[in-house]
Amino acid sequence: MKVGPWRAGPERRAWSQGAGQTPRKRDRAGAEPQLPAAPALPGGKMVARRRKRAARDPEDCIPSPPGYAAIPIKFSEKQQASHYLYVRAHGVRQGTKSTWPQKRTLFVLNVPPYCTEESLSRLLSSCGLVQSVELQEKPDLAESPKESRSKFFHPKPVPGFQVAYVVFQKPSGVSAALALKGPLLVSTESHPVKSGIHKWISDYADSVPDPEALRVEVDTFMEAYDQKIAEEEAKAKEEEGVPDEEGWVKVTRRGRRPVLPRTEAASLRVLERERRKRARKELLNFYAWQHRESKMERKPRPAHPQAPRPWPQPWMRPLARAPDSGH
Amino acid sequence: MMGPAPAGEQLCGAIGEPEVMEPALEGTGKEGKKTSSRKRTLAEPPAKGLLQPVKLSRAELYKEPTNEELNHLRETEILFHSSLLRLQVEELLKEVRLSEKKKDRIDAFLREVNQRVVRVPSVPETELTDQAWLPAGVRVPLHQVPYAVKGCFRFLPPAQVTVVGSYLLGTCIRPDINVDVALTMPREILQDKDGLNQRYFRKRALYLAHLAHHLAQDPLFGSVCFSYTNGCHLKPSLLLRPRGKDERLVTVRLHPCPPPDFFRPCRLLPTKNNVRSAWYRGQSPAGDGSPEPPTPHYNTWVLQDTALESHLQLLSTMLGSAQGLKDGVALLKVWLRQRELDKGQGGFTGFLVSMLVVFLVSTHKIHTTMSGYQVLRRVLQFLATTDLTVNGISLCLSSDPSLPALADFHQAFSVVFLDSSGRLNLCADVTASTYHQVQYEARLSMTLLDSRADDGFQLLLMTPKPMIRAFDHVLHLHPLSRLQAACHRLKLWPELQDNGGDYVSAALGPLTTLLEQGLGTRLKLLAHSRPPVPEAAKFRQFWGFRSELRRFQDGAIREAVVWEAASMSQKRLIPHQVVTHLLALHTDIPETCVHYVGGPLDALIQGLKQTSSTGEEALAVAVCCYDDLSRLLWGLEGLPLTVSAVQGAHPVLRYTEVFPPTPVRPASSFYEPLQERSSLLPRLDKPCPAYVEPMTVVCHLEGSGQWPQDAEAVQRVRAAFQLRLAELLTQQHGLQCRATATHTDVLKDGFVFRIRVAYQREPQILKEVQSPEGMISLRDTPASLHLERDTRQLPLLTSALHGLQQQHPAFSGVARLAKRWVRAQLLGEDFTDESLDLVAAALFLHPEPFTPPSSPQVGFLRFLYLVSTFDWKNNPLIVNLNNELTVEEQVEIRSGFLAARTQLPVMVIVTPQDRKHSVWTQDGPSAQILQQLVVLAAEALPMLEKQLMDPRGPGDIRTVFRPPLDIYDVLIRLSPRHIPRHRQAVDSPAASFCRGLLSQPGPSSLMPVLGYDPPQLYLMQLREAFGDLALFFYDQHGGEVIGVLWKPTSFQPQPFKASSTKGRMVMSRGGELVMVPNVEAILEDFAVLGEGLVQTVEARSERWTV
Repeated sequence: MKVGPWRAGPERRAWSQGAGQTPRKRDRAGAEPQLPAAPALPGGKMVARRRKRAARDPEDCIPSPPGYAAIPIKFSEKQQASHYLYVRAHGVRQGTKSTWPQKRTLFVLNVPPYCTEESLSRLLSSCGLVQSVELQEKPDLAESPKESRSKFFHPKPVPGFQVAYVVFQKPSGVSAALALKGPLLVSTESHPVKSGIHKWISDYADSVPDPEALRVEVDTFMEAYDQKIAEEEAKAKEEEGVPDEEGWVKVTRRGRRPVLPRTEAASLRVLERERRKRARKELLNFYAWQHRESKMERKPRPAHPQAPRPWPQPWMRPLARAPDSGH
Repeated sequence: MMGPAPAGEQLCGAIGEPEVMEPALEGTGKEGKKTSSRKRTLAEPPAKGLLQPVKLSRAELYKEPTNEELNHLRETEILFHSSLLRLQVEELLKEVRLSEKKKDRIDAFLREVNQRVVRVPSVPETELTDQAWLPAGVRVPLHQVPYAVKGCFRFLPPAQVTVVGSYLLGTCIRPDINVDVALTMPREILQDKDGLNQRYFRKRALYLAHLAHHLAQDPLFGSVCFSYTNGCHLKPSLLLRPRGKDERLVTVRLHPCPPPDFFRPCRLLPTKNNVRSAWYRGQSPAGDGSPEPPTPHYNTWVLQDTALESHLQLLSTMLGSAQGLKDGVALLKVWLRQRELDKGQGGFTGFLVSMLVVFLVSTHKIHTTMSGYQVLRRVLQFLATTDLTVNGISLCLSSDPSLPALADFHQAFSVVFLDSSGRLNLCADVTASTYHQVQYEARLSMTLLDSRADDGFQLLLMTPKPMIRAFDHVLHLHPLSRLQAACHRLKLWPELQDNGGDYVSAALGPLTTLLEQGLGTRLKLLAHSRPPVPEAAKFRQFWGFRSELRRFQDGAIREAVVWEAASMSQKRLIPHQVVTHLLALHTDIPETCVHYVGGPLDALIQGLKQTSSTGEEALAVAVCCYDDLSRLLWGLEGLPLTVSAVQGAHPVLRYTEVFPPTPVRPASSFYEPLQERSSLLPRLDKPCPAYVEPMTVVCHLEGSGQWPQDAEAVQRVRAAFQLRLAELLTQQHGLQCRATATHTDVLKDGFVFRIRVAYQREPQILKEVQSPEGMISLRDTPASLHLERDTRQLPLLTSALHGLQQQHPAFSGVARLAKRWVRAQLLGEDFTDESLDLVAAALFLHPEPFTPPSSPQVGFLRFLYLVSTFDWKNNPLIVNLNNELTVEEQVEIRSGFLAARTQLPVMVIVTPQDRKHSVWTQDGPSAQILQQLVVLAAEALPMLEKQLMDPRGPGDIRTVFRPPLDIYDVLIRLSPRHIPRHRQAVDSPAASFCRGLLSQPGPSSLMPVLGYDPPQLYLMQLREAFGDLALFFYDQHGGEVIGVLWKPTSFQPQPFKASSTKGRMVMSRGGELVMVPNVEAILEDFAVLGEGLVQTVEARSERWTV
């Protein structure tokens, strides 16, 4: 296997490679085939490929990208061909924090759509006790706060090929998983996985909502929200008119003298008003340099841009900062 | 109900098949086909790429104009509408005019023809009835009945061969150049009294037969065949075409004519008889001494032959020196040709138009210095305002008392336009209905020219207007011989005698008047009513046994005819009933001979059980139910905020859902009941239940400052509203409801509505972005755009199209048929429902040069034409709903479009509510898919038109709705058991699975299974998992197959990337590790993901290997 420069730090390089990628882009115009007559690629190679594989010793190691191990995975015994999971130990650069524990976490690429968290956990339990399995659409970078998402307001998306983070209880589980030969079977007699009509019917049953649960969730959320708003208001009230250590006073919308909200539109309006005011006051042909300039204007412009005029910028009121919800 | 043109016109083209060709020695049937295809290329926009303004250097831009340019500009100002129009007109003229090079070649060919014609050997004199001298296999191009006639014939080479007609004037237009050549027969051939009893015509035909026999042996000619000028069957002419590559260059038409001054004009006046009844009918006219009936048409045909040269002289003196007039004639010919008015029996030919220009010049309505465009305008103006059927015109200046009066001509002919001799009616062959059609078209064109908004030139001269696309209903009569009986029934013997036994032209006039009378006022749906006595008797006679006395609501008792029509589609077809009834009653043409093409396409949008209706009624029922629901919502008590507006946002509520919903009555045994949530669930052991799509309704609440200003919190409050809404509707109105976080489903009278509460400020909250400095700015995000589209733009569009349906009852049918077709071609997924509705709406709002369609069939044909010819790259499709956009705004939109073209989607549809972004085509189609649709439409249109014009021909009307499957790489066949809409398929299966519906309302009031469509769920999974690698195509209306097309670019081997491993595998290729799609596993995944639904996965190509 040719590895080359990867050797030096396979994990780090691979990680930055994968992680640096922007999420999957759908290039519509470019990527789609010519419909009326798709370019005919030379046929017949498929057969060649099949033959090559047949000729290969089954025990021969399956090609895998550097740093990864490949594990064949199939839906059930009936299938002939298999997909390949590409797995490696999860690791991040020094100093970066990660949601998943170093050393104990297995990073899995190319998880087929029919493979659920439970079945992945079951398949890998032979390597050691599995603590948790998380399926995601794409590998994520730094630590992201995992808040529990409501099933009513954020329904689960339709799964495609995913990546998984499998956390074992012991680091030995990771190394055992890297040595797995497979092929893994997602659906077996003892643990069938639903697909097709079965899955759709059960999905439909799950999608029929329970109004009571929904009501409870809305009420708790709104209670928390109202509380948060009330707290913020109370805090703002407290700070009203109290100067900080440098002597600045915070002005808010809810204070005794409310100010404009700090939006882009409002600031544009203020700027525009200022500009108009200045244009009214300004004499355009007063100074000698203005004369000169207005003559220059009539001629073609000089190649280099004019130096900014020594004119004071419009004085701006220091607008108050609205209480920030984050802090 | 009918198209605005007089109803009778539909008939003329259908009965009088254009230019009855009788192949003499070699068949040429291709002529007509070639014409249309060439014409289409003419009409196509010339630009291939994106149009860009020409870049001029600064010096060139500000150069002072030359003298020539100044003159040009002044001319444009005086003579043309705008300089763009001038450029367009000049370009068109360049296109249709003959080039000098071709003229030379034609001249050479004409010289050859001349030489050969004068060298044809002569034949000794024989009796006219003795035709044994003609070689075997040569047929005389004349219907010789009765055969016996006096006179002798001998062949002598023509005394003179002259080119006549438009070729010499330089007004003939491409394609199809015809050169008319007059052969003057030597005086020795003719005898006195040859004008009588068709003798002249018999000799003329024999003359041509002999000529044809000799010329056909000549290798110079590619084809030699007979044709009938203007469909006049007594007057054959011989068509010659060069052999080899020039075959399509020119057609030379040989017309034999008598020597000058042979016939005495006074014998050929319209009041005279030249075909004796004794000879023609074998019986003397009734012994009471009544005079012989006049034979005006017969006389005219003889006269026409004598006047060929004088007409040419007149034309060349009047038009010869004025280029503007010639241009005008050429433009008029293009105008006529695009409307198919110059073709067929009694067409309004280019010659007539030239004569009309001469007339207008002689009456000083046109000046010789006018430009071609002005001539076109004047002539159209004249045609639009003058009725030649009432007030004939004459080129004759002399006031000779021996000349007949115009009134005599009006008695004999329907359209009167006399030539300079005052004896020949140039419009003798033009039927009244053709003339009315010309007038009607001229009027339409004048309004088009006067309106500034549209590109008049394009619509006036570049858009073909074939009959099938212009008329709502077309009537075919077959076999034509039935008309013979009709002639006898209508007592048309004098006409037959006049027309030489041509029963088609004899019966045409009376038939069209009959139908016009029957259909003319077909605007009321139920009946014709006329005041009683004495008209009642006439009325009863006209309508026969169908007439009955009825008492009307206003108390009047009248004679009336009742036509049964329960539904919209049947009402559209009442003219069919009228026509068959009248034809059977008055002309003995039985129903089996009448082929009425009005609604064969209706079958495609008919529901399963309603074969008599195209669904307008079912849609109206659903809309009614929606109105009731919105009333309930308005009056709902107990909501924290009252309902301020209820708006529909579903295709059903704008009448464009292909298959209208039916009330659901689920059979409880078929489902798994979920009692605690009062819902039904599909069962594994049963086939998939019926598909019920909830109709989306957007519900706006009154404004309030109490809403939270945080997106997540707004969602929660909305959910609380949805819950409360469900509660209140159940409490106050006893409706079955089910609330979710985003919507509330309501079951009302078997229809399911999905109510979405909308908060006006929510899109704005979603747009808010806070910068690090705390500045709040508004930026469009996908979520905000989506919400805005669903809650603001969609309801607006729905109500606008709902209004359109009220104005044009055929809109629903057209939009649904169009959508049905696009989906049947498996492209439905790429075009949003709304975008197709808007394209259909454009046909009604911008119908020029047609009038808005009144039947789904004609609207669908125009949809195909629009899709296949519209230049999406360089033009936005402006759909001016409610006429809100002014002309200036449209111009602004167009210029804005050109400036921003690269950022806009492939297909841009602009409405007054959406002037910049084209929201409905933002997410598709891609350029390739649109191209595919254009190709398919261009294929389907001629095929469908051919089938509709020939209803008895082979082929099925559904052919154009069947998609080509051979382009797909993989076909996934689905099991009909789990396709809930299986019966909606184009080729509807005779039997399908039970879908768990009762015919009577059942006891169950549980919420039916909503939106459960396994093929759609399956497709969603496929697209999510393999969207990077392949495209999936499916017809949601009962398709049994999913077409898969691999994307070639994603099959290129790629280096390993952690983010793009989906469905791929690593392979070592030439020592390097690359990623390729794991096709074998993917093919098996297709089957795994669709377990139970998928029957087979057929890999049909090996294109995936790389």
